Amino acid sequence: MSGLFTSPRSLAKENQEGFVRQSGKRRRKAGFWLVVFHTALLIAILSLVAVIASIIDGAFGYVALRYEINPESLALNHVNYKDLDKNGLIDLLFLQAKAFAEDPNTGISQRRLDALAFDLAIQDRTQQDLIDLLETELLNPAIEKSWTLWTSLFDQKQIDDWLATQELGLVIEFRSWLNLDFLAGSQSPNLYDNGIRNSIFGSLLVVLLTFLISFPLGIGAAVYLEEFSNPRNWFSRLVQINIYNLAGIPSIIYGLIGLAVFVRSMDGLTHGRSILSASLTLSLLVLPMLIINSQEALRAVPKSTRDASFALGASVWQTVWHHVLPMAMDRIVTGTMIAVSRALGETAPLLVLGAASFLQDDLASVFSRFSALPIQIYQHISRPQAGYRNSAAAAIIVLLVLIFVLNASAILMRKRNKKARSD
Amino acid sequence: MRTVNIDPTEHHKLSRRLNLGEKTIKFFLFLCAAVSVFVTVGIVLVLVDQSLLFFGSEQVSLIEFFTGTTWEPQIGSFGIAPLLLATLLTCFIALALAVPLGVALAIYLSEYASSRAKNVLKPLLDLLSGIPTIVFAYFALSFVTPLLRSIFGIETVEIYNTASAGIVIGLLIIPMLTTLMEDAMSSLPADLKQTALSLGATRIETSLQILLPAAKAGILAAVSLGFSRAIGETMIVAVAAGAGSKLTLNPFEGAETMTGYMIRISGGDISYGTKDYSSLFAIALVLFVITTALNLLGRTILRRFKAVYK
Repeated sequence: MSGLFTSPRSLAKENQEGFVRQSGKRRRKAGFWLVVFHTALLIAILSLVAVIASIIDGAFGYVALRYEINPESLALNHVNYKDLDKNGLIDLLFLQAKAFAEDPNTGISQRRLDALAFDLAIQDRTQQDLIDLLETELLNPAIEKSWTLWTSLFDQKQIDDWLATQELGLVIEFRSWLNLDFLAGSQSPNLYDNGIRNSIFGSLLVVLLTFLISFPLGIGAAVYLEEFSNPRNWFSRLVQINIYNLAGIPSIIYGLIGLAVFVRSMDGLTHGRSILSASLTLSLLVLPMLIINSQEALRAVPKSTRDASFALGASVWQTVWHHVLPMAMDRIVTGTMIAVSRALGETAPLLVLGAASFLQDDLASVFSRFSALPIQIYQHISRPQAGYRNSAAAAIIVLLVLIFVLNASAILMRKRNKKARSD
Repeated sequence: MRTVNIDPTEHHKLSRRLNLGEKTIKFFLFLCAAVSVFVTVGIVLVLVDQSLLFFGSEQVSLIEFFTGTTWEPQIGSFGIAPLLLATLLTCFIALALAVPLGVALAIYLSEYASSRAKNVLKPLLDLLSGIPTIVFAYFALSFVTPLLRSIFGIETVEIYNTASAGIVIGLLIIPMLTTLMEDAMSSLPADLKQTALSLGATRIETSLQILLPAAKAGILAAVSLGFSRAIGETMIVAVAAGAGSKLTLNPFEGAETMTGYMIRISGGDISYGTKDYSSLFAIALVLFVITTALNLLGRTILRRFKAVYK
């Protein structure tokens, strides 16, 4: 009796006793493999959970801040700045400007104040805005060390031990790295008030443009392959094999092609490392997947629809335009959105193209230089200084939410269309 | 079902009626389909053209490129071996993890899971495959590497190591492998399974000794495609596998892979026409040849496999 399997023929040779013995053995074997399968399943699910947990773990937790001046001392008539009303805050601000005039090592310079007033007049700012302004301009907090959520919640001794070895003047506070200032702020060299607004807009604009470029091309190619050409024709077969191959080429190679063709050779048209170059590159990247998805959508339209149309004397294009495409459109759009949402997370091609890693200006046009969310995440992951990895985790949450929203809306749209049709 | 013109002669009659507008539209659609061919031709042309520049210079010879054992562009030493070895090392770790898990999951999904379990598990796999690789890179550095270091000791495991990158690439390709393998198993004819069961084989015996060997080609194709995906994976190795090329087989040491080198060199403003710039294209050409060969192999096996059981 060899190995795992008792063949039916050898089974027949067994006597009754042997059969009973064998069946116990076979049952145990089955039990063993079932455990193996469940373990495999468990590993897969646990790793998905671990991915999500490690992101949340990084995005929240205690930080140690060092202020340039003691927050307690920033006060007007012994009232701490946090408790002042708006007028009190403005008075405090002008007092600090006066202090700078006497001693340039303290306070805030008049020039800086004028620059801030140029953005938005001091009088027109809200109370919270003024508090933020005082904090960033005067207290200028620097992040000395950060801890993960796990450590913050269950291992506070580690934080205390570390604090004991440090000189005084550190403030420990709980920080959600994912906060409004982070989402809406622009990039800053100081991690404490660094924001990712530019990167979010950069990513969204690149993806929108990618969608606009690749959608018509993808549908066109799919319609040609499915409706106009004979699949046994050598050209269609070549294109079909080619599309599957393109889908398997590493994305970094698309980045290099984008660099050589769109950034370098077509510099005059695309203005080099611009949003347009990035979108063109990513369009090439998503095109194969988009064509495959659209072809599947077209194939799902029943042949009887086409036959009926032809029987009434419609031409191929009339059939496609009036009957096949409307029926397949919701699937095509869903497939496209899922393909394009992949582009949102693409990092390697954008890095190779030379997306800006630091950019404070807002985007002006499709020809401007840009940054993107995955680029920010990469930059922050690879920096060893305290807090950068936490900020990367917060940016990852934003990226995942954007991808999720894009996918979910694609699926919802399809469900709604399906319902509308069946009603 | 694929086209309206199953019979070419019938098509002939209809196509006579194509008017000018219809012909123009057909031509435009043809161009759309041709774009994908242009892209492939473009990729090959650009890569070969720039690589010729690289190999055309005196410092680099083709022989040195493939036989040299050090990759140090600053001293003019261009042997691809360390980069290639690091790439293969991460891929083998990835496949060693992903292939057994993928096979187990595929058998479970196609033979054991109830349709309710399938309805939960398949979207979960899709979810896993929709996560950007940069997120997996973060996971490698902030979870897997510390885990490895706490298991094997901080002295043995460097902060940047190929083991961590390989494990995470393995996780990354599990959904792809499972989907392809499950597809292969469920495309087997039903009578194969029914015959085995009716002869008295148990469910596990049917799965492991009848269905699995029958789907061998499909599984091989999945491995080939997964291998290609792992070789081209970039962000995970760029973040977790370390910078600086090194000829090593120790998975706990850092070593730069082909894609990792490409990211490090091109990050920031690379100036055109330099040695660094053209070396990118030479490596990309090697990468392109390997991944395309694996893809073609996988697709061919898959097509033959499907043809056998049609």
